[in-house]
Amino acid sequence: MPAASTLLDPDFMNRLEQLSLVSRKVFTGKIKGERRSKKRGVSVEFADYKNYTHGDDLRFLDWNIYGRLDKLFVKLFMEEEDLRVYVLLDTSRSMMFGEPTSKFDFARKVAAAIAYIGLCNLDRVSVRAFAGNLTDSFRPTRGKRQVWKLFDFMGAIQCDGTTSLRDAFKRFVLENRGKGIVVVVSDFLDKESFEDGLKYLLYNQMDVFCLHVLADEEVNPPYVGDLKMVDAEDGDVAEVSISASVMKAYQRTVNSFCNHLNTYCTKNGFNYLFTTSNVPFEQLVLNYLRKVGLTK
Amino acid sequence: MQFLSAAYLGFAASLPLLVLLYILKLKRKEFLVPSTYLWHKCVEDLRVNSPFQRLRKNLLLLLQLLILALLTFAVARPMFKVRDTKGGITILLVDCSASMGATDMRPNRLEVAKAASLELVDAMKEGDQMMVISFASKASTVCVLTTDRGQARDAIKGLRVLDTRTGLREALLIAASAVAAAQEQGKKCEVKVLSDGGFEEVSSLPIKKDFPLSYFPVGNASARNVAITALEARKNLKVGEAAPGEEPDYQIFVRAQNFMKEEAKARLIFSLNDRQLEVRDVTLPPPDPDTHAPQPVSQVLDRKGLASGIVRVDLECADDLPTDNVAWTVLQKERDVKILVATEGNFFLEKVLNLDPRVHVFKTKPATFYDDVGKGGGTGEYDIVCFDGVKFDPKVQWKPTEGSFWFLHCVPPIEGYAEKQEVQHPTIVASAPDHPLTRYVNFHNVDVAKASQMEIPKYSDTILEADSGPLITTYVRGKVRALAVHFDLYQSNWPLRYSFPMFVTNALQWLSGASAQASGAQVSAGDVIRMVPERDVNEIEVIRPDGTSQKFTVDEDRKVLYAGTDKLGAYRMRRAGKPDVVYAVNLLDPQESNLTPRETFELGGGAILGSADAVATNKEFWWWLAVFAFGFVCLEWWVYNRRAW
Repeated sequence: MPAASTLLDPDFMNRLEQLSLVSRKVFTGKIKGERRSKKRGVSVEFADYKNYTHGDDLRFLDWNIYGRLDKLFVKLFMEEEDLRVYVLLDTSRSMMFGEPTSKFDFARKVAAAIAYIGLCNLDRVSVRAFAGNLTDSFRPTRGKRQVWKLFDFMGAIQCDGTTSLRDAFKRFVLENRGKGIVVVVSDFLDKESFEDGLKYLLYNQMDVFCLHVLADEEVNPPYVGDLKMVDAEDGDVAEVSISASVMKAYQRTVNSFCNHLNTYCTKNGFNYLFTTSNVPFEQLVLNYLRKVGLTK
Repeated sequence: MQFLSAAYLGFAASLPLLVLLYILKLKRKEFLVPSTYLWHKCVEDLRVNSPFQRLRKNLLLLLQLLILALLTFAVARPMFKVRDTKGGITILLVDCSASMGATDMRPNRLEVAKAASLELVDAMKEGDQMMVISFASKASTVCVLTTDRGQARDAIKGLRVLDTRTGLREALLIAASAVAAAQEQGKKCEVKVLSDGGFEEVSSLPIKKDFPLSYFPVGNASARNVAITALEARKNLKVGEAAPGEEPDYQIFVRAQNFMKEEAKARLIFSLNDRQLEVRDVTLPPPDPDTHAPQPVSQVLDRKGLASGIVRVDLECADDLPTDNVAWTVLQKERDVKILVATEGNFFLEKVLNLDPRVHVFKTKPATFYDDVGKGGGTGEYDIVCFDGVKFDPKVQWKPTEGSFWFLHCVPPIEGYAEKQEVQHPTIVASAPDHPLTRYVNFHNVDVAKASQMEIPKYSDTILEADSGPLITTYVRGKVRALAVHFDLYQSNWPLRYSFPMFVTNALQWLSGASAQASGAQVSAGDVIRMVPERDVNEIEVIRPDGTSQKFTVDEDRKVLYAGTDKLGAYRMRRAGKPDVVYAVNLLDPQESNLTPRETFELGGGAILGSADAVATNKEFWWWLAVFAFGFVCLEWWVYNRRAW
């Protein structure tokens, strides 16, 4: 288990504090926050006027208008609420692979960084680990002070179980009715098809961001010879004799898989970013996430 | 197709072994991967997209079985027999004798041999050399060592059947010298004999055992042939009855033989000057079942009025070699011969000279022969002058200058002749076999008690030779023709032998310039005709049976040797103002007429076995199989790399 302090570098954390998470949708928050809400409220930003009716707060009457038009109008202001940020971290056994950085370590750091950005911006950040189902949970939390708890939580997560996006996301949607940003960090290697899982996120009209993490050995397998491949998750066996043509076919399959996921995400309004575990983590967070619009 | 190492076909047992190995499951290396999801997907894609999936399932096995089978065949060294040489120098000895005209192989044996030779020429590679020697009664180098295939091809195409007997000896000697020259230069060399084997024994030739010779027998053992193997015309001498000037009758003797395994019926047709005399049906028995020797059938035609002309005998029978079914002989008109004998008395000589009614003998004393012939060196009114034991007086200085002379036990007064000493019991060691004087003469039972050891002139021929020197010599120079016997007839048993009267008859014919008379004019095809024109003839014309002619100038030797007797028939010596002298050229050779191809012959102390492989080479093609196997290995590797199971 990595120490909490090794998850993110303090200097890097300072740089993360400059960023904030961006949602393409405006959601209704639960409590007062720093995000503009659909609701009219009591912020300093003027929104609209309305005719005065009984019961309206007299403090919001626009006396200047009354003086000119002799009619009572009430000023409406934008409401600012908090943003819910859900980070769904894949902890299935397939995430253990990858050299020198495993997919899981990479995913965990990205998740920590996103959560940290959310905490710094007073967003309600929740981290959920999933494999065959939702496993560990970091309850929705606000405030930068919670960051150490978050890191402790992240550091304690272990990889285990078989991927089932359908079961995990279904439960997630049932548990979290509120809308917000959902960042899924996973390899999406679900034998039952990733579509069955992602469709649940679609139903809640969440702003979904899919970060697809594969290990280098999955993109360019270094295998040779006649192999009996054993699935790390379910022990399934695939007997493959590696040859140039097989390698080409495999790479075609990987590309096709990524393209398929990308197409699915685009079609359903999800953001998609593919990365390998060997891409420099800082670069991904500071540059690539900004490029795809998750941070600014 | 044959295998040089057929034992290696046993490697085929590895084929089921391979199948067994295939049945055993491949042990794969276990490997933990994040997920088999993508791998399964990839393998499924490959399977869906690959054609002939059923076949591909066992394609590798099939390919490996094929490779193994090809390699097994390759190590067994399969080969075809093809017309080819071993490279280097190839010397072809092609038989062109009469028997090669046999049609038991179509179109005939020579054409088959030529076709095989041409295939060998076609198989020549860059730098290979070929020499072509044709042989019949004589050998002839028709193509010297050449790398030019066109030249060799033209030479072979130009070969034609000659109506002569077969003689391999000369051809072998030429080939042996070429082989020796090639081996000195370290070149690979081989000699191939293409023949039906009708040649003489050559085992005595000085040829080494390792002589690179192979023999390709041409012909079928079932060839059909009957032949005339002897023909002779003999004068029917009637001593004491024939009046001078009366034409003698001739008897024609014919011998026919059947070389087939079954009895043959044939028709014998006698003709004189193209006029049919008689036709006889003859039955020719098959060869003796015990000895396998053909049984001769003799026929004699004895008719009055056979005086002069060309006798032709045809043996009509459908067989594979018509050349030997015909023979000619010549009956020629003889003229009277006047001979002057200068002798003290010689019983044996006189008795024999008087046998022939055409010979008119005149006697004189040795001391007075000048009176009869003159001192000019001529023969006077006589055709021949015979000196028996005459000692020529050196004071008189008589020398023969023109005419025919017979010196019997005396030193001829011709420059070059000189007596060295007298020798006792000389042993006869040789005689000139093809000289007209020795025809039908056998000296084997002749003993000589005393003889003169002679020095002989440059222009003389030795007819009979003893260990001490010549016993009988001839001298032909300018207008002089002389015969000298250098021993006394009384000092030998010769007059008591049959050979003596025969020799005297031959001598009279030769000395009178009529040596080519009667049956004496028969020559075997391919042999030289020794034409001796008269003294006053300076030019002769030889007319061949096909009508073509050739002119010859008679030189001082007064001999014309005509060698172009490669066609059977009557050859004529034409001289201006004189009747033609006819020579009959016949095959008459049982060995040549026996068409059964010889299977083997002795040479260099070993047996040369005839074989069709002699003009063939083992063309191995194992390396083609190896190339195919390599190709299939590559294919197998490619398939293996593309396989998806």
